[in-house]
Amino acid sequence: MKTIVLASVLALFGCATLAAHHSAVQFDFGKSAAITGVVKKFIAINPHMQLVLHVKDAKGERDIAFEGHSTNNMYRAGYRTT
Amino acid sequence: MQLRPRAASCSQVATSLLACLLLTATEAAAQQPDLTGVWTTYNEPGQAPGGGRGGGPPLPLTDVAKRKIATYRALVEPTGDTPGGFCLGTGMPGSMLGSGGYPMEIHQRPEQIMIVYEAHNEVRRVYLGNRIVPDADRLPGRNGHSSGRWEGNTLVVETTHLVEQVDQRYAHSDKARIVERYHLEKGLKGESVLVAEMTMTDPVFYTAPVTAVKKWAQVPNGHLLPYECAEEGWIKRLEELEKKAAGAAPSTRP
Repeated sequence: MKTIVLASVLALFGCATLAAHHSAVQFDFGKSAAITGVVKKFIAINPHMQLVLHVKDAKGERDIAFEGHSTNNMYRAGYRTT
Repeated sequence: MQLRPRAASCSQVATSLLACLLLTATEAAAQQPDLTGVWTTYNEPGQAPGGGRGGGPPLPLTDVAKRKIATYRALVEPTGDTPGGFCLGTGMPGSMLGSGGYPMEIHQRPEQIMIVYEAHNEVRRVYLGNRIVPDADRLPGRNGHSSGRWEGNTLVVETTHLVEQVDQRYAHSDKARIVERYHLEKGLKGESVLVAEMTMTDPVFYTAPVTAVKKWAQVPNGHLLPYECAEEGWIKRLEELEKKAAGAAPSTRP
């Protein structure tokens, strides 16, 4: 179930390696990637929603931080907290 | 005896004039369109979403402006830092030209028009008539100070008392003066479209006036969403305090 949820969420998120205070220029919105992991942290805030995923794969075990659009943009795109 | 009819006549004339003046004022007020409501970016038919943000011809920047902008960009481009990322509003004219693609809400009264941009809850107050604030009492800011007047069906807003901003598409100095002209049109589907024409003059940053147009589509019964933006900093601060408290807690180990 978590994997299904993440697949839909990741389409609206980008991988963030630095702090969250930046423009969207560094993201390639035409490219998508599926990553499976356990949600460690998820907060719906502005200016960017944030997600931390604990991933175990061939590269090892690590946390990957993602961030998305603002909560407001996600809300208008259909996102709802349940 | 002859004076009475004359006096009565003058009184009647005065009453008629007053009635005419009142009627004229009422008609003038009735002519002014009501811009109250929620508005979102209007996309022309065939236009990509975003309302044509960005792009356009090169701006007629002075050498002073070019240097300042280059210095700023060299500073932030390695990290992509933006004012919005730090919960700072766009400021004029970025706010009136789209405010990051978020909607805006207008509340219109005869003496004051409030414009609330959803992004960062930016607020502009446009004062009209006797509410216009004297120059000496205006506090400069990123959205400056705005006063308005009606020219027929067109709302004309003049904004001055801006602070220098190199962190937006239409950078400007604190000497910038922005004139907005708002009027209503009908879109192809019959919807109300608010056309905002902007002209900015700034002798320090530009060699010629800069113009831009933004179109807004009315959102019937629309609502703005709340836009709290400083939560991230607060959450991080709480996490720091929690770590500090955990570190300071007496050990429970024997």
